[in-house]
Amino acid sequence: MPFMDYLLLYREKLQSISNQDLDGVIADHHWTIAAFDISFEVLERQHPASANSLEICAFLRNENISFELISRGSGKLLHETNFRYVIPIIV
Amino acid sequence: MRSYSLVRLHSTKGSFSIPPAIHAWLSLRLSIERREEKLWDAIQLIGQFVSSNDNDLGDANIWTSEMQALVHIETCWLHIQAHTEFFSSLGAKNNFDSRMEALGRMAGMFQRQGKWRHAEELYMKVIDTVKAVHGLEHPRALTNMNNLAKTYWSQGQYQEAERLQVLVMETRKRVLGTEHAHTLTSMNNLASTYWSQGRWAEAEKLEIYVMKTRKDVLGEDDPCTLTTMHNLASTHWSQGKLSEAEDLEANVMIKRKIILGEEHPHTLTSIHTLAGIYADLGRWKKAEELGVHVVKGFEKVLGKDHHSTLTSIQNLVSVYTHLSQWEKAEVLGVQLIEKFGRILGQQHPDTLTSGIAVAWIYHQQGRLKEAEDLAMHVIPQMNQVLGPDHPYSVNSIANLAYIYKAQDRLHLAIHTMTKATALFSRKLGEKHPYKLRLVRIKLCWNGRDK
Repeated sequence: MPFMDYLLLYREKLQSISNQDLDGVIADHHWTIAAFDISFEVLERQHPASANSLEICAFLRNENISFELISRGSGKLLHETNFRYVIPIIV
Repeated sequence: MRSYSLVRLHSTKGSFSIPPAIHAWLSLRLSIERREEKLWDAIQLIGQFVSSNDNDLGDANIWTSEMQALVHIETCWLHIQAHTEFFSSLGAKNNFDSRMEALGRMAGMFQRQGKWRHAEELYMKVIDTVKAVHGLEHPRALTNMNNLAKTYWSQGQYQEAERLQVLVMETRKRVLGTEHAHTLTSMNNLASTYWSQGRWAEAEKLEIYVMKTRKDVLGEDDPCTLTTMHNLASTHWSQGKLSEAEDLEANVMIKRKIILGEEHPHTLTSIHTLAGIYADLGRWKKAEELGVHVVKGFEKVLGKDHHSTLTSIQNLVSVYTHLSQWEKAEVLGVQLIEKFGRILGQQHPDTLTSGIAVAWIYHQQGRLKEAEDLAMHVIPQMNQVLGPDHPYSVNSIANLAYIYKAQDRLHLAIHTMTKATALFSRKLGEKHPYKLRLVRIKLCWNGRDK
């Protein structure tokens, strides 16, 4: 995506998130959330399974989520490399 | 870019973390319907994870990974509780049975990990939901009722456990017949509750029926038949029928050695029971020898930190206590407090009961101040975690009474013992053998007081 297009999209996201009545841990991180949201939408289109795994993690504790839990729980072999693949896209 | 990574990998631990703000946003960005759908995906994931453990719980690595997953499962449970419409809207949804199965497995893991209150609440929700859709006689409703009874049993709520177990047993008798494997399992479970209430004759009657039926239906060497024989041996042991208990358990041990192998946890459990019977028969050397053998066996097969290994050490402590070998008992007892505390938490019932066992050892060594301090440290926590009338809590109060007695604080000892017997009556009824023993001791102290 060209940088100017990204910037435009980022501003729209930021505006939309800032208009929401959010509190708690995300109240002070609108800029991070806006950037994440853009990346996550790309991830959903390109790697829906990875996006789905991350959404499921929203209902687990945020720290120390083991690959074993995800891979045995989903019945699929999930390795750290899958997540390494996902990270640059999310960032 | 990597330094701003929104998912942090912990390569050495085989895990990853999501920063709190991103984590919170992941669910908030979803519509209510999608949020519920993803929550179900998380529950199914947990259910599948727990189910993949079921066959290997004897494996130390599996046990550790289940303990590590517990915080995530508790978080998922908080999300379920936050969705007030979650259970009431279930009837109309697809995948009802697989979802109920996943929730049941989640509750089962809470039960195994000592999170009894979570297990109890979740089982109740599952039972009510299954009952509303399929009716009371549906196998899943009965299985979950059986498991809920086990949770009550773990918490020392024997009357609630009994009420449910009788209901499950009678329903299974009517629906499946008196010889069906599930009916026999429910009889076995009810017998365990009778046993815990000191109603040994009732336990014995049920166990004899189950043993004979299993012998006829499954054969003498079937593992289920051996389990009932083992339970019956424990009942005979409690009844003081030591030679019958010894014969039966020795028979079980030999068969388990042949069928399951020398190092199978069930074989080791049989050897451990035999050690206890030998201790009561006064064959203390043999008891110690077997007790040490069982600990080494569990350490080798399951690892030093596995729950079964630590339980076997607990039993060895009790053998050393019988043998008045206080130093050995103390070393192992203190190790247990440390290990249980580290692995299961400072307030886990196993950590607390280990504390009381060590207080008793201090008492027997004449280290009365240390005994009193430790007991006074543990008892309030037991009252908080298990409730004041749980048999463990009452037993601890009775132990404290003994400590006061040894300190020549007779009025306080009698007052404390009165409290213990009253609590025992409330939970276990007036006729429980242990309660009657405490009453006799108190009367004896009273006699000396006068």
